[in-house]
Amino acid sequence: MTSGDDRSVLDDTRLYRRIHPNFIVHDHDRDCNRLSQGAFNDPEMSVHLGHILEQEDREPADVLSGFTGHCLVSIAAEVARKHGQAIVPSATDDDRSHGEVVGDKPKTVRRAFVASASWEVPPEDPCPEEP
Amino acid sequence: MDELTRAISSEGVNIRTHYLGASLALTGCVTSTEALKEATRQHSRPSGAGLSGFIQPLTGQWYLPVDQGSSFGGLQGISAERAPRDAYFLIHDTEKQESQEPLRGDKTPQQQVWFGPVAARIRQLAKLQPGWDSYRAVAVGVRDVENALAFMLRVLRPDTPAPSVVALPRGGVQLEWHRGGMDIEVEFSGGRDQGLYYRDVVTDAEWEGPSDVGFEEFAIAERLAEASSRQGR
Repeated sequence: MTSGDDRSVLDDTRLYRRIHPNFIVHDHDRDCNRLSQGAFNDPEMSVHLGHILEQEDREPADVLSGFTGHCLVSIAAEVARKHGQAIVPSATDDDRSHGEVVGDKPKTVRRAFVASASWEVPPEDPCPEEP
Repeated sequence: MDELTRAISSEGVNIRTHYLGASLALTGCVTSTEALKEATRQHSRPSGAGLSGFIQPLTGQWYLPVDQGSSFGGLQGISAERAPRDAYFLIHDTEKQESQEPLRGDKTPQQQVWFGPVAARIRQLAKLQPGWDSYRAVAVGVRDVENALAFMLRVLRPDTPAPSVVALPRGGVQLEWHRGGMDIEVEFSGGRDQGLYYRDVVTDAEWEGPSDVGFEEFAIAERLAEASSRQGR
């Protein structure tokens, strides 16, 4: 178990992250838009914990409220842990679902996150099969 | 290179050097307009090192000295005296590159197809304020932008298509190309080049290593240009 990891966040919990338009890049070969792994390039990466959203009867897309133009992706807590990350709840005054995925994220980890991520609110013309 | 560096440094311009093979790029912070004027006088063509222009990284504005022509394709041409005090400049050793590929020193930036989109993108990224990603992202670092520009001037061909330039949450930038059957990512953060990620989409072969080495080994600049030409964009 990674130090600081909160096991009360179960492995099948979805971790949601807002995606600023800056992180959407064009794939010229497929003529579609994809997620840059730069979106996960943060050792203390903010996310929203799915089980807290459920407890509050909130839809995942609710976390986009007030953030025009942003998209939303999710990964499973299990994937983060598999790559040595700790999942740390860190509720804020205005968002009880806020948490962090803590740990170094070299390219291999970021690529794994992109490969396993699911679009919850996709960009225009998303690339099929992968964000 | 040492003589050139000394000459400019002695005039009050702080210089950092990037040297790879025959490709020389100097970036520096202009500390006085007099120094800039003198640097322009000493190193303008045909004396060897051609002063390609000045760039203000935070705005992405590129300035060309007026004595290098008046056609700027939308870019701003100014006299050295009017260069902003906080401008940065890039210099290419044209003499050494005469026998190299027809690139870099003999091409002013606006002749390179990637430069305009990159400059426009840098202007966008410069406006990002702390917290821009809706979390705790920091503003884009000038040093990382400089390093990315210096890298592109070193390794790209004039007809290499522009990359996607992605701001990173901790202040760096990443260049990305997804074309020509390749996924290419080059990260600049923490004030340095963090290396290249290369993936052949067909074979799924991956490679990570020094950016300049990877670009040369896989002929990336050329393959991107060819793919862009085939795709007509």
